[in-house]
Amino acid sequence: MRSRPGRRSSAVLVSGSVLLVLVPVAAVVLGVLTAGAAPWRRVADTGWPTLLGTTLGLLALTLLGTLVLGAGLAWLTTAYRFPGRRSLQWLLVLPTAVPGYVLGLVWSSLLSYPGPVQTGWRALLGQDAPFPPVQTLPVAAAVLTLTLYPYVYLLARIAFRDTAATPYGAARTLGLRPLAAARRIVLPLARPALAAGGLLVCLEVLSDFATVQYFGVDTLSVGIYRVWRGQFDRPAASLLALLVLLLALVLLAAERWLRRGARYSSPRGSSTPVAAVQLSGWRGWAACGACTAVLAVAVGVPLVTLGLWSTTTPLQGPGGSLDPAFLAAAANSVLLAGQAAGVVVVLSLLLVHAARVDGRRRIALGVQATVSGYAVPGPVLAIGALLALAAARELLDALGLPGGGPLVTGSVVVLVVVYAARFLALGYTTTEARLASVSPSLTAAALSLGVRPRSVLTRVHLPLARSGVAVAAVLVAVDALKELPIVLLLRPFGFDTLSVRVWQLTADSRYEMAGLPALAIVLVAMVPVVLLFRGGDDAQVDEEAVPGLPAVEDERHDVVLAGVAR
Amino acid sequence: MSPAAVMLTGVSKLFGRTPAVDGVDLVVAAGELVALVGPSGCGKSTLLLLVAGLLEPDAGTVAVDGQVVAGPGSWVPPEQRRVGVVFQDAALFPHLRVADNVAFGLPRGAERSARVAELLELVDLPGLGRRYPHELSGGQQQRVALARALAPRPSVVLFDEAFGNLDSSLRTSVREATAAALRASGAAGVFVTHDQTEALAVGERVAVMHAGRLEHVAEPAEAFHAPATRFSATLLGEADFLPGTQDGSLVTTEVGTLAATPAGSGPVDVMLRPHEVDFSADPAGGAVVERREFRGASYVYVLRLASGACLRSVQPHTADVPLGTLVRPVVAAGHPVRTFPAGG
Repeated sequence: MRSRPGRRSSAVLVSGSVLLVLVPVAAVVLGVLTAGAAPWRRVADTGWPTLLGTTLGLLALTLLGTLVLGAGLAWLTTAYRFPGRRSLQWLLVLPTAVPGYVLGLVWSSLLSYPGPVQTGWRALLGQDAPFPPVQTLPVAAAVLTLTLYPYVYLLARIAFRDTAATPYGAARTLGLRPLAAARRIVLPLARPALAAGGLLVCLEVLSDFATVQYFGVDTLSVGIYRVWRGQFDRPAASLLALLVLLLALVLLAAERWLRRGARYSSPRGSSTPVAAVQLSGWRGWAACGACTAVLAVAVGVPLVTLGLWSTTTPLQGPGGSLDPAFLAAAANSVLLAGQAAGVVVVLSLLLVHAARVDGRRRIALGVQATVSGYAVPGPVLAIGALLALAAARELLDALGLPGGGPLVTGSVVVLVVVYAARFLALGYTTTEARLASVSPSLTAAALSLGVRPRSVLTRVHLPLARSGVAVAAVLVAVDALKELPIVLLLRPFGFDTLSVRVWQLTADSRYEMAGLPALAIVLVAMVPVVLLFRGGDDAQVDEEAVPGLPAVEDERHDVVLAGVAR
Repeated sequence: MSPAAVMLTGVSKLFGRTPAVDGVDLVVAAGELVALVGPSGCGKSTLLLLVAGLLEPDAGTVAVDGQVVAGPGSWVPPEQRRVGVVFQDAALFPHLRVADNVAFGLPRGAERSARVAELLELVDLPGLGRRYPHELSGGQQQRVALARALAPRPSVVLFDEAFGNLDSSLRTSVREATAAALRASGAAGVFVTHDQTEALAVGERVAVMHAGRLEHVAEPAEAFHAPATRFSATLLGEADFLPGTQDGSLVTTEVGTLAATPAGSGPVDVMLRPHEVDFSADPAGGAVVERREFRGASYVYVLRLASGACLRSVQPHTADVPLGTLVRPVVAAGHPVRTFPAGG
């Protein structure tokens, strides 16, 4: 069913969603090309080589950290049996629910001079005991590692289970000890998965300009935010955005290169799971302790801290009611997340349907292009959207039409559109993964029975993809709730979301006040993780999360997992 | 006379640069059952998708029920073709009951439930309308799929390896029931299969496909006894080729002189099927029993001739001939044997 002729509506739909990603990127590139030489000098003033160096350093450290932590934990929970393993193997996904800017807030407060850690340190070692500096790049990398390692962890687990299990068993029967077999067989086989996980981590690091600022680390994205918000310097911002985009492309190419010829990443058919080795005595407890320690630092301590802050801070509203600013921000967050999820889910379902009913090459290519939008870092999308809107305003003004003003000062509609561009890949792959387990002959059968494509959507595809649509809606809503860089750049004046509020209160060092909104974000973000990953033994855990995964092309399934992991 | 159910004229389809279907001409008469047989990858399923409208041909014309549905400048989407399809996996809608599956292609209206009942009766599954697909056996699912395909009264139903997933014991009965239901409905049927037994049993005509081309279209007996090509010969049944010299309608071989078709002269290869070869013990017979294979109801003996060539011979399971016995092969075809130009 490769080429299926003639459906105009699907072509229109697919072109539209491609534009969603393409327009911002094109706007950034055009912005740079038309800027002339002046912004180059201003960008030189920002010290972009230093920004670039810092960015590369942060990428390298975080990548190293997530690979070691993610792959290590994945191997530990796959190849060994120890107390608490069954619960720990899904709990270890939980740190994904704590956004970097929340984890950073908690730890930068706890580790600050008046914080409990340094106070205890001084009580123990005397008033003048030197404490290692906290506001450093390694600490920022550690914080990002703790929230981003689940990408690598999830992909590595699947690779270990699906790809590496049988060769690992073979290596063991040929006389290799577990660690030797892991190093010589499993690691090379898992390389594509690790590369994919690493790429997702790097893209997140590139997008972040909030967390790193807590630690005084100036990356390129921080630079973008500064020149845009501080100086409204459009050309300079687009120049930096282009730099970030190029960096993302280099990373993308590197990932491709790392998995060159690695078509063995997702074999079909059954493979026996790795026979887990029982860790006895202290070894078992050490393994359990290691996992628990990671969870404590990444989830436990933040939850307790935020909980304490939320309950001990005087609630700012009159008569002990909740802070009205918090309520307004929460309402905005819900509104924005709900709209983004709605738009993304509808678009995703239509795209999945179009790709099924219309097998033309350019439809498939268009969908592919849309899905690859996940590789465009958030700040780049945001700057691109702003540039495109500014151009639209100039056009409207030139034509003497009204309505240009609100376009540029930002509106919730613009936010929703950019969110849609950002999260469409997530929504599409989740929906598509569900429908992928449904045989294409079902679609063909429906069409051959004389039913119009639109009815095939409502009578066959929608009912069958319903669970996927629901999962997609939840994932996108949660991601939208957690999103910070885009909303910081694009929000209309005075429009606060929970994430914006956390960020602002933290920037003002009012940590305790940030407790409630941060706690709200984390608790909501935990819902999909718990729903998708809890329960089930090794074999089931990941499969339940991503229905029909084996049928999905490896590229897409990375994105699905990315989505699930966020 | 009603127009042909399906008419293909010079139909081609490329995947990349490889032709999957290469200039196929085929006419399926109204109500006719045609088996399209070939090895996997020969393009037979592609051809079927071209007829159904799930693929667009790169060249040629497809007509269904006298109307051109694909060709230069014309295109009718699958949902408007009145072509039913039954897939190997049945492709029943898992979220719909059996009755709703069957009714899927029917317009809303009063006759709907009557038609569904009539169709379930036709495929011998009355009263199962309220079941869900997963509550049915594989054979029942295939019959529901047939009922669903027949519901909108298509002029032709296409079967894509439709019985391939069934146990061999079940396959025969479902196949017979399907053919009977098709005949009762008056729709033509095209059965795509790689199983030669199925092709010969179900088709009123058999079309042999090889590398994207139709090699032979004929009634089953002719296709089997007088195949157009060596490929068709081996595809439709076991066959050995014995060198000989033809003179007119006689061919002289190591095992005697036989009536041959087509007429010709010079060196040829004679196609002999195992059931056409008999033998008797004879120390001067010129052949030796080299191997044998037990097939339950019969033995297949492999005879090595003096020239080194091999012939196979089917014998009843009671014929217990020890290996190494010297024998005289005898050809008892009951019809002129098929010859092919030598070599090839």
